[in-house]
Amino acid sequence: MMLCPIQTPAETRPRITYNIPTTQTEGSDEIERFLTALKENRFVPFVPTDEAHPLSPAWKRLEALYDLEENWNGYDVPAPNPDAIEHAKAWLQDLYLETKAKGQQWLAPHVAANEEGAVAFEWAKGKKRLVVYIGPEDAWYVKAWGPSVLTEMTDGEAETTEERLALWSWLLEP
Amino acid sequence: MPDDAEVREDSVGNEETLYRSIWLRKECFFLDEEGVLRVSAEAFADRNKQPSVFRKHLCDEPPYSNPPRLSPDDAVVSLIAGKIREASPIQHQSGKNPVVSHVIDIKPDTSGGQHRSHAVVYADPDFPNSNAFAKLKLRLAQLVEDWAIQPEADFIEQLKIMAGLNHPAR
Repeated sequence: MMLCPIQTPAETRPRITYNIPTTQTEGSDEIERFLTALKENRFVPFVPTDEAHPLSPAWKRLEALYDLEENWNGYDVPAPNPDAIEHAKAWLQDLYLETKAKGQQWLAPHVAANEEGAVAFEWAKGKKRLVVYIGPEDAWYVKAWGPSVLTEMTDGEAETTEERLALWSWLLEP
Repeated sequence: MPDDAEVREDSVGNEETLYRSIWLRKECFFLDEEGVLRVSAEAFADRNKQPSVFRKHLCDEPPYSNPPRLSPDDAVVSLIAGKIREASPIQHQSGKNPVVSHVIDIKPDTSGGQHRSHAVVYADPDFPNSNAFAKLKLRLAQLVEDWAIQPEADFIEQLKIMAGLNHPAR
């Protein structure tokens, strides 16, 4: 299954209302519809109508990024890039569906932005810390599992399903 | 570092305590899966890729004076200069270019009328992009030694509500 990052500009995307299913049985038709839309390279936005949905907290935080202005952290950073926010939504949906398909635990990310307007998703689990940055057209990560920058910190790309799942498995493993 | 120790203004000693003032924004803090309050790596985001800090021994009445606390609601965290330097070298490779080693250091910075306690954490050579800088931000977040001033309890409660308590996917 290939869940590609969406490359089309936000304003040209067909607006398909889609709620990510929360149970396996009720969601098979929805998943099929979702995959069909992806094959046709159509954007499928998650609409958080369910407050208890695992994606809802992160979604609210992503929406809140639109309200941040330049210098939002007091250190002269630019406002988050709207295209990066849209890309981050698609990326997070993909991650959620991929982890759900694997039966893996979901951990809501912390949501912020970096000094170039990219969205930053951050997780901390024990000694492990993972930050994934989502730009308008790319995604990359930095992860750490100890104090040494040389031997206990790495970075790389986080664009594909395989890359996302590898990061998630690393984060969850004891 | 003893409170009565002499401090050179033209260089930052390894034993010095450095403060970072952090705006009380939900993007700068989060609760981990065990409910422990953490400082986000993006709390160290800086347009010039040189995070600002303030040297404890050159502040007037730290941590509550300004500096290091840049506004009355800010949280303030402390770091140790020598541990920041131990992050050296940060290695980064852009595309197929050779790996570059960046030495991490701290220097006083009173440019633009900054207070005499102001210093910046910087890389030599400069970080070419945010990918390389990301490693320093994450290391600084790991290195936070202590809360000099914690966020207010109401703010932490808001974080708990917004986090949705990281419940497992249904």
